[in-house]
Amino acid sequence: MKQQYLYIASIVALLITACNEDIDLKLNSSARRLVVESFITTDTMRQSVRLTFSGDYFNNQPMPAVTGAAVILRADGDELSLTEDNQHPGYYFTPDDFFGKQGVTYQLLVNNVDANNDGTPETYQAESTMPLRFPGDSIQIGFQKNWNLWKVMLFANDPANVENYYAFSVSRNDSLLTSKISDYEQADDEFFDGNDIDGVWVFGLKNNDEQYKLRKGDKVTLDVMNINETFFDYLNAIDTETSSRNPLFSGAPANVPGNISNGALGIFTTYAISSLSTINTKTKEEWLKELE
Amino acid sequence: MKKTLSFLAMLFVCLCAMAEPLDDNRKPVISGYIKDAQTGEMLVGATVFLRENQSGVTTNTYGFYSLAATPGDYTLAIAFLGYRTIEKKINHSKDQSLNVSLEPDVAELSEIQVTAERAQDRIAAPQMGMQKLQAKTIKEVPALMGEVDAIKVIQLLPGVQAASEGSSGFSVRGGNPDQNLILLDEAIVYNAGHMMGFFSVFNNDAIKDVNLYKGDIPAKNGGRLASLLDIRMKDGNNQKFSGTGGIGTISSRLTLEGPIVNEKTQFVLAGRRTYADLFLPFASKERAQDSKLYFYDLNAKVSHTFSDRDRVFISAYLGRDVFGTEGIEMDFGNQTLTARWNHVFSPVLFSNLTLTGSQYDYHWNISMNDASGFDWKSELNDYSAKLDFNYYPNTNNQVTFGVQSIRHNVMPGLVKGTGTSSMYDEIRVPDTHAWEHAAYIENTQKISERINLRYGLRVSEFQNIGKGTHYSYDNNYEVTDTTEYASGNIFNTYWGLEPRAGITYVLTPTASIKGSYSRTYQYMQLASNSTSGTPLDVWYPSSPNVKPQIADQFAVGFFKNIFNNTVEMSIEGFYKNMQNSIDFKDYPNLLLNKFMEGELRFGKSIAYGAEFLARFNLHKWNGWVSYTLSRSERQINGINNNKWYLSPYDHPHDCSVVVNYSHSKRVSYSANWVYLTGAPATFPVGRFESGGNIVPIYSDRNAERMPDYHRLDLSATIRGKEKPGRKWQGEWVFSLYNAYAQHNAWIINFVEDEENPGITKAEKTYLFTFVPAVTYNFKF
Repeated sequence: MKQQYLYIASIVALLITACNEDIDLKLNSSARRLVVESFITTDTMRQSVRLTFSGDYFNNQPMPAVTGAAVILRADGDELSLTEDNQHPGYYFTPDDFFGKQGVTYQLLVNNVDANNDGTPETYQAESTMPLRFPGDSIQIGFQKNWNLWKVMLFANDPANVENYYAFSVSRNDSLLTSKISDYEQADDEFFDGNDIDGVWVFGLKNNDEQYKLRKGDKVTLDVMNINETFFDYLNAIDTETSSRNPLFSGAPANVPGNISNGALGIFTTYAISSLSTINTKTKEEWLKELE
Repeated sequence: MKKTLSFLAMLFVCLCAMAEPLDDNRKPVISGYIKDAQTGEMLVGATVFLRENQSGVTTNTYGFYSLAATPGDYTLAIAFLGYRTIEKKINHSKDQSLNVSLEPDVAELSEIQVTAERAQDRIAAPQMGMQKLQAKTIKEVPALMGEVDAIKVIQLLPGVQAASEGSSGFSVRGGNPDQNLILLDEAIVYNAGHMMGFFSVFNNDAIKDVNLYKGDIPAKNGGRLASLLDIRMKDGNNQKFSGTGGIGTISSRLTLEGPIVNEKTQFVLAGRRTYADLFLPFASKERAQDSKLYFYDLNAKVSHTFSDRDRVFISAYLGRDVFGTEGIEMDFGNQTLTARWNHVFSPVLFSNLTLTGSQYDYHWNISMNDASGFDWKSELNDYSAKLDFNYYPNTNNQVTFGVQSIRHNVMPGLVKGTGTSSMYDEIRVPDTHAWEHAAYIENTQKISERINLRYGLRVSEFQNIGKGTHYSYDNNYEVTDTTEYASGNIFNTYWGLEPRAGITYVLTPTASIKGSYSRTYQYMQLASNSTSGTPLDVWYPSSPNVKPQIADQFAVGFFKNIFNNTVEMSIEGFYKNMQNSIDFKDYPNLLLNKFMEGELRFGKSIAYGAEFLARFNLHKWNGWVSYTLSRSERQINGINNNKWYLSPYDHPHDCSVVVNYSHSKRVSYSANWVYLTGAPATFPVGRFESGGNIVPIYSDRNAERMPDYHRLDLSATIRGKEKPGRKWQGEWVFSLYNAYAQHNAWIINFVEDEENPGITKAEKTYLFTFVPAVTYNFKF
């Protein structure tokens, strides 16, 4: 129900004429830590683990890549050593024909990284189980008049008696509109376990923004990701920490909880993915006419 | 359980036995009511004094007094600040009833009267950390958007701060906003804010006075750790029909009061409504044009005097906020109802029976014509009965005792999907029911000319009662077991002894030192993780998983009046130790979560500080200067690696200056200035990248601070010429909030520059630069 909070927040914005201005603050720094970023999916492709270091908050440089690490992926007793690519420092890749298998638990091992600069390399590990894949049935496009938004609506059936976690991303004509994970929408099925979902509004694309608006004939693709609880919590935390706070609704800031051992940041996760596409058949004006 | 009930019953019987004393040897008593001569309004805290033997008493909350004296001839003096003192020669031989009406002292130019107690009472009374504000005082302080607001004035007193800029939530001595017991005519007000808390629910025109007790709460009240804010509605004018009102920048008000049939019955009816929504159709955005945005308040009170022995009061409050835009609608508000019966058993025994009901509920509805539409309700209902006695056994003792029971029923949340193709199941967080009982007795005793004592005990008991659901949690806060309890089944009981005591040692007629100790228990608290709270926050009771919060407060103070009592000064130091303090885990899920108790973390907290207050009431100038130096810290298991951290309400330095200058009878000016150390905050100490986002790494909880806060508000009041024979009196109030447009940080956000991805910056949000407002007030 995260979306609903946004509605409330927009009403609050109506109520009060808040102003923003930049301020200079001197922030403290913290010890350098390893950051792991790896999303293993069910798609067959070259998949990756990215290693970087953390830095000062106002250090407005790309985060330093970690090279020379030993990165190993384990599953079902098999072990796969990922290869470093000099073209993409910090990235460690699987072969091109790799895909994650549903229900399998994957382990990640990272060796030979000295994040704290004490001369002794540390060892890091993480694990994630690939959820089962539950593709949706279809998507539809709609238009919301007063908010001036294109609606992407999902039709699906949530499997009963299991806790399911979903994340969604959206593309227009095969180009991704949700380029950051904070742009994803995510949901758990606590309030609709086992139910038919007849057109839930998943994304709203601003009609007054060229980057998002839909034209007649555009192809819209919704990626449905079946994720695990750890990643769900991670996405929620990333959302909170990358959006604006206010004293009415926001609690104390907190560090985003990851799943890497030994004090490393970031996440190693696995998710099952399926895509649903449709073609937008109407212009905004045609939609408005129909709504009347 | 049975034991506790029988204990309460026994205590009650004992108390009642005391109630009709058979002591024929007692001295004869003078008793009665003190009233305002023009309106008939009962005067609370007026001093009744026998000049010859220097003994006196103040009127109770219903204007009643009882004073014993050996037979003889006396001069009886009755005084109340802002009224002309009356002296009466009396011959005293047997019990007598004497009702006195005081004339308002119109010649006096002074308007601000933080205390209506006579100066010497303030010195001698064994009560600390207490402030009284009259509606008139509150009205003089410059207000945001011209909306006169008792709670905003309370925030200018030492030891009291706004929970955040512009908020009607407040923190007393470093406590949480939910640790304040807010009573309107004795009914609990659970959410005192309108419009996201920027305005309080109290319409000043309907208020008689406001009393704030900072931790040193009398034994007759309990249930919160930090403070008691006791707000009393006007009784109404029983002499003539009259009205007051105002047309303001954002709202208009009208209050009518007068006698019904004769002076034995009187009423007050007050209403207020904002009209910000009337301007919405002019807004440029289509969305705004369909929006609703308003709040209203209604206060009503009727009282009837059957005789000098019996009076009945019935008062009610209803307030509601409504806002919405296409597809979304939300409304919330409080309702309270109070019925009171004063009965004078004998000249030395006054009783009051109070029945109250109070409700807070909210409701919101999202209907976007799709499967995700829903309808969400939450509701809290309280019913309480309280029987309170004031017993005046002799000149040197005043005893208060009584019993109280409150029934709490909370429906934390009920959500139903709307529309034919709803994707949602009905979601209902199990309701909670609880009893809160208390019995109390407290004596105020004059030991000698120099020493006054107040000592009392409150016994409180709390019971969770079915129908209810209890979830057991393991050490990782995961649910291990669910137990259902049938209706009426008491499945958990807590009780506590709450001693309260105060002592005053009078050094000179204008100086004293005081000390006090109080223990308080709190059984109901607010599930809110934000500093200023929202209308969606839900109250939850103590339970097998949530132990009652306990506070012990020690205070000492020095009180001194100078310049012939025109300047009153005080320094109070306090130390508060709290057990079973509650905070929330990182990213708590507090709404619509049946396992909400698993999101709580427990520990302890302390607060200490010193408060300085100087109030002046000179010929043309009056106001006060307050300064507080304090600290408030917590240690909660599971938060901040179990290390101590600052409470979000820790403001080491807090200074307020309130000045009112009466230029002439028709023109007066007011100003107030506030300075506060910035609130503790958690800032990033590093960053990392994940999924295309720059993610902050944070310092320890509340290890940093926001910039200091300061603000100046100004107002000018110009009254119309008084013409003989004309009842209508008008005045214009021009106010300016944040006069020098300080950009005080409401929040500091750390954001990625939209134009330069990868570049981060700190951005502060401020709410109000300077906010001018004009209000026209009238009286007839």
